[in-house]
Amino acid sequence: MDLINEITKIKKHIGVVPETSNLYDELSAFDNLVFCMQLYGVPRSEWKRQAESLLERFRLSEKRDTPFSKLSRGMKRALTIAAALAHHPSFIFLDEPTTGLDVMSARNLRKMIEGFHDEGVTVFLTTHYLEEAERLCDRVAIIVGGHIVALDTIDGLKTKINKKNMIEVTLGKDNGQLEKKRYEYDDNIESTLQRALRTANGYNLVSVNTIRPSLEDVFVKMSGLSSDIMLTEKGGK
Amino acid sequence: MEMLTGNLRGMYYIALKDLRAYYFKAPNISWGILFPFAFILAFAIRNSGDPRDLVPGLLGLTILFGTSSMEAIVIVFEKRIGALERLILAPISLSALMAGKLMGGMLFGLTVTGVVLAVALMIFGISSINWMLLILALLFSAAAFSTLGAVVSVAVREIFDAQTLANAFRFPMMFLGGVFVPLTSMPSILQVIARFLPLTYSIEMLHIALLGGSLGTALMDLAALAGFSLIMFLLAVRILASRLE
Repeated sequence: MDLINEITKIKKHIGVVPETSNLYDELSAFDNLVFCMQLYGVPRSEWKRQAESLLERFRLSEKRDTPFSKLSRGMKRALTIAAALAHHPSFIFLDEPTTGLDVMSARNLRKMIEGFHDEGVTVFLTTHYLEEAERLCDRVAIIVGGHIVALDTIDGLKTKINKKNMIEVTLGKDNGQLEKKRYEYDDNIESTLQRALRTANGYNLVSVNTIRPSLEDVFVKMSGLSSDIMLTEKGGK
Repeated sequence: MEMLTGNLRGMYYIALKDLRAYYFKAPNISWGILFPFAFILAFAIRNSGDPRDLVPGLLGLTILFGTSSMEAIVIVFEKRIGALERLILAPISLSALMAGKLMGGMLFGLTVTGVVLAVALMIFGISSINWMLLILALLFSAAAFSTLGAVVSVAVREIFDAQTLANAFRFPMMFLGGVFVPLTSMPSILQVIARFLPLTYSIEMLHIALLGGSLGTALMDLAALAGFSLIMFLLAVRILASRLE
């Protein structure tokens, strides 16, 4: 499709969930979903069935007739995502979907987002939570100043920063002090672990942990941003 | 063809949603009906002339405030809560979006004016009405004031600013548009200014439809209202588009 001349057609295939839940306070959960379907030309025969199915899927059936303004923040978020799915889009854009949600609501929402993948819906997720991106995304683009500075799978990005996986052994000395030792490994974690444990001989073994490069490490390296700039970007300074 | 159907469908459902969500609320309806009556009554008490002469003004005021009051707020309100973004992302053109918004305001204004008209006819007993002209006058007045409200709504960022700007247009129109005093009784400079105001044409056309007058003048009024509506509509769409860039 032509992105410029067929924008109206293209819009039919896209669902957008903005950072702020933007449905209509005065309309009920059910009516909000039906309005979204009406706007996208979903056949009238599907309205009731599709709206009720979405309410059930997002655990909002009991709130069917509750005005949007009376829903909790997590429910508003869930309904906003449901509304974006109401016209069966092929692509869905989620902008900071879990911002401001409590732990359980955020967890539930992440599970739902994982479910889109199985339905063949392509999800574009924009987030400042790198842990969330690492958990939910197949491919990650790092955008700095409006430009994509890196785009790859999570493993691909981690490989690019040349930071190795490590085993960290914490040993307790006789004088009560702790000593940490790190051992890099590629594929063979067992032999590295054996080597690490051999060094513990004669000491108290306090803990053994694996340390893997995180997406945050990748972001810091790829973006080239200092922590000060990152704080400013997030509005923290 | 598919695009046209989509746009018409979008317009219809946006108007329907706006009517349900914003317009048909008790405070709007009571304000829309009582406000013009209160103004006209206050004027009628001190006026010794034929009270039937005030009916065109009463209808003009009702349709002016009925269509533009919420219209001036709805878009700026939806901009603030992010709901306008939802409509912009829908598979309809910006013109269809704006037309849907206008339809909501027009339908509400016409409904309220219908109620006021029925009451006015009962009280004043006007019988020789040119119904076709009256319907056209109400329709085109609704379009003119609704588009004026839309321009205000897309031009500002805050609801308070929208109300202030809308009143800056409406109140001068109310006093210069022939609602209380016939245009011919005004000083010539004010008559010239009044010819730039859509309410003047609305009241004149309503007067001819209800109480008789030149059909040619009524058609000129109709053309003026249609032209004003078209210009305001295009301006509203243009401002909205520029705000999105």
